[in-house]
Amino acid sequence: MRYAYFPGCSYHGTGKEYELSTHAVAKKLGMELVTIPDWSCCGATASHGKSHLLNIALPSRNLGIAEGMGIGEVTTGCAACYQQLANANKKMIENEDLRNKVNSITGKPYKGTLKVKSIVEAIGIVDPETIKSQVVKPLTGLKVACYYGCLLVRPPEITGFDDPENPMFIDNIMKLAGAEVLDWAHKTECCGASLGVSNLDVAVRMIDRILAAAVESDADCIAVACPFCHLNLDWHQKSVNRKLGKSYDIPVFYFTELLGLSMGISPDELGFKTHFTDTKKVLSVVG
Amino acid sequence: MSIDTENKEFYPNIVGFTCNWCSYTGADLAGVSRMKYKPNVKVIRVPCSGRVNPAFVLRAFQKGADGVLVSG
Amino acid sequence: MAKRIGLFICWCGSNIGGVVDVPRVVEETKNYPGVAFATDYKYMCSEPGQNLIISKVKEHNLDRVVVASCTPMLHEPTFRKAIARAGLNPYMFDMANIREQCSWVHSNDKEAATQKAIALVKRALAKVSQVEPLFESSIPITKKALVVGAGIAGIQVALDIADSGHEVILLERESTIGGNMVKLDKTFPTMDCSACISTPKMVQAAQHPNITIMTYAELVDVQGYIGNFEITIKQKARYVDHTICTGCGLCTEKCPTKVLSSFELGMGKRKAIYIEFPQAVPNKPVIDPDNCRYLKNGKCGICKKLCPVGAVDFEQKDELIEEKVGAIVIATGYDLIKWEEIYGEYGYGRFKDVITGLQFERLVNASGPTNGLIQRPSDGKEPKTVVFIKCVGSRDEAKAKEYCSRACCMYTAKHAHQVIEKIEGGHAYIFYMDVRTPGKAYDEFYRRTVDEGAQYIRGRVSKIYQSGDKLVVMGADTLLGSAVHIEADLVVLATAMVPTEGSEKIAQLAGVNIDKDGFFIEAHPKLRPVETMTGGVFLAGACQGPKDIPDTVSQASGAAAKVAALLSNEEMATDPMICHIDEKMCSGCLVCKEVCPYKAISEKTITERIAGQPVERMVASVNTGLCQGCGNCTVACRAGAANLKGYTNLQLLSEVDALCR
Repeated sequence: MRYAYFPGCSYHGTGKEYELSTHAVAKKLGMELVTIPDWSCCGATASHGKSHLLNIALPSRNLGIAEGMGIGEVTTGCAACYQQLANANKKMIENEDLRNKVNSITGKPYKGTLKVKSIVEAIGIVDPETIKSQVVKPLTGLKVACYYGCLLVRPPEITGFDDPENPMFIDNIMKLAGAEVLDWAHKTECCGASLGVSNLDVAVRMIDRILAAAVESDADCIAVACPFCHLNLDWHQKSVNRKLGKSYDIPVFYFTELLGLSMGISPDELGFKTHFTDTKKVLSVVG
Repeated sequence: MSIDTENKEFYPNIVGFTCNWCSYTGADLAGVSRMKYKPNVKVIRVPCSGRVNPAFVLRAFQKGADGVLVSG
Repeated sequence: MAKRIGLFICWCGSNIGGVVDVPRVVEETKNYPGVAFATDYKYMCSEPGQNLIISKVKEHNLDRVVVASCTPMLHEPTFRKAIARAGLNPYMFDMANIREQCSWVHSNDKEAATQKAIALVKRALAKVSQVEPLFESSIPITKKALVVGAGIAGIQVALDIADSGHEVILLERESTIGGNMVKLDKTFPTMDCSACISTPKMVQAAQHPNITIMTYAELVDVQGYIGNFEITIKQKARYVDHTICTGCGLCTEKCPTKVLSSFELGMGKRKAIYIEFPQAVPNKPVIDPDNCRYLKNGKCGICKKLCPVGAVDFEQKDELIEEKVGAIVIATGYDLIKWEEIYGEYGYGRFKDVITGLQFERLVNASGPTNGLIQRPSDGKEPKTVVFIKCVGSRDEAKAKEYCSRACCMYTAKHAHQVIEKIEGGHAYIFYMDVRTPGKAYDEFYRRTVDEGAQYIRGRVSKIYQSGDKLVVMGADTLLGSAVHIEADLVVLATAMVPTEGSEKIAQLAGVNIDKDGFFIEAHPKLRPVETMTGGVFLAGACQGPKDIPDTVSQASGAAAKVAALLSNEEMATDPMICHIDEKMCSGCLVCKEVCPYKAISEKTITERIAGQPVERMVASVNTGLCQGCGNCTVACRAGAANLKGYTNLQLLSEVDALCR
């Protein structure tokens, strides 16, 4: 399967291990990720606060370039990039007036022929037997709380690939990797998103609730699919401990890292070293 | 025919045959709901769409209708 | 003789007159061939309007009339009666629908609406030029009614019809009559015991000499028409001969199979041979074939061995019973929406202690599975903190139904009151969108509940999750503008009322329309609320829309009055707009017979004289009682021998011509 691949900004910074692990896993699964040339900002969370048109135009520029690559589908790892691309794609397909207007702005005309998939969906729809055949070091005994956050599965009219209230795509992938997935309550609760940067006092309370639910469900680690979720749950664990007097020490992984681990890819290659929480615990469980 | 090449706007005259029990009532419901549609469809009430003889349709075209709607 | 048409154009106040230029329509149509008189009036359907028509018919010696006003669905009968009073045949008439199909839909373009109104009036004039007098005949009425569904609505309908002296078949698919009301504990706002007021009505129905109760039976076919329905009922096999059974209960006591009881809404158990509840009518058991060990694999049969009168009969089969009735009342009631399939945020039914209001009724009911002790399903503990969520499935355009289910605000107030009253140290929190309490003594009841300490929180619940043995309810208090987290022991959902399963099939059988939500549609929402557009078929209770008990009972009595009025006639007039065969033109091919959906056409032999010799030949013949006037035969007839009175070929062709001119 070939995809036009949109890396997004955090891939070069806080989400570097997501980038590394995504490519490593895709290679094992025979997925070809072709980076969209001259890609630009997806608009992220800032653009729709500024201008509706800008919010559609920024991702549409990338869709326009991707369409020219002759690959029918676009994928990206970051949940916010996915949301932006999927939202713009839907609006551009449905609204001809908007399409004409946006195309005149971006200069990269988009006809509306693409499908946008999250990397979660792209991996989730791979034949389970193909995935299983690559799993050489099953994560037996590892209890994983799969965390989806907000933008990956909601609103359902834009995302639509998984149940917005009790999503299962990451759970199913983790099961194929041999892990034990947990039925826990906070799969889709808000992680605080950019408040982790702008208003940490608020964010730590939100992060605390998610970490508490994961710990209560007896999780060894949390699996995520969004660089911001990872940033808040991983990096800000220390802040939660400091500000709220807690003592969390639960590793947080991108689901691609854990899947990669089960496929025998080395932790270094997957970017385990860039975590703030201690990943050794998990490595010791898996062996 | 009412296709006027001089006039850019084609304004077809449409004869509708609607069943008394469903689509005629449906057209009433559109009115009750204050929906809006173009006024160029005019309805003949029939007791059932099965009452519409193909001859009626041909007659409408023969007499200059641009379209015929049979609904039921 | 020249035709003398009277044309009367209605303003309907500003409904038509505000959009269509009525005087201009009169001006443009008054010279149409045959029009002898034309005028307009503010309200043609009013008494002075009708008198205007009558006086002008007489004054101008008119022989036919066109009224241009609203839809004929509304006032065709009104105006037909009016011209009959003026001495004309009521069928020398046609209407132009210039309101529903003109002024209301084209109010944004007054000129176009006026043009269309002129065209529609000309169509009616063209048709009325071709009409001929028609005469009604009469058919006898079967003085018996069928009531489908025996909840409180059906029981009330049956009792009222029976009291007026007519026979009633009260049909119920469950093994007992009673419906949902008998499951309730108390009824708001008076807190009467529900069973205490409904079970005596069940007994009354059972003992009434004019009522035949048929339980465990379903309607499978309806033929015929108002006054003369032929119905087929499937009596499901009970595997117990009720003519012998004494209802001693030994069989149910000894039956070894226990399954979840649907009467208890899964909160309690019953046996495979069972009586739904102690006051059931009839108070005799049936065997559930899906769970009976003998019927499934031929082993057991304890009930048969023990029955002192030998009433258990494993060989019993479903039976079809045919009946004739003159009227049908649909009273099929409601189910609760399947919230488990919709609301993931409330756990998709995974949490045992998230229950519906109806399940709560069983918990708090002295004859329920917990003998009236409020015990939560998961561990049987008494809940201290109970959270109620209203509008689950109601008023939710995104996920479920747009409408308000009407009874939930009141029963939730009742439940909150019961929590506070029955549970020591009990707390009730109610998440609501609005509190709606229109009804006698309703708001007073709600106020009292608030005064007793029920905490009403205006906002929605975004999530429920299990944390230890608590259910954490996350919601919003939109009045305080803050998030709310409540650790609850039990959560009760006020789920939307939806039409009962299978009501769509009943609608098809009875030829009645249902709305987008599946509720039966009444003939007019304000003025004909218990009738349907199908003659002889009436509605009662929640099958027509969500209702509480007082409204249901009122509507049931209303429907019964309509049925009693119909059945008090010996015979009724038939619609004369039916098929007519011109025997001279009929070749006897009988293609018409093939296409007739009402089996109204048969062959008959006539004798003709050809060259002085009598010759016998076959022609088609129409049964005027069965013909419903659909006109399918007229299209199939190659010779043009079949024609439909009131919708003749000539009439329809002249209408086409008028619209194309």
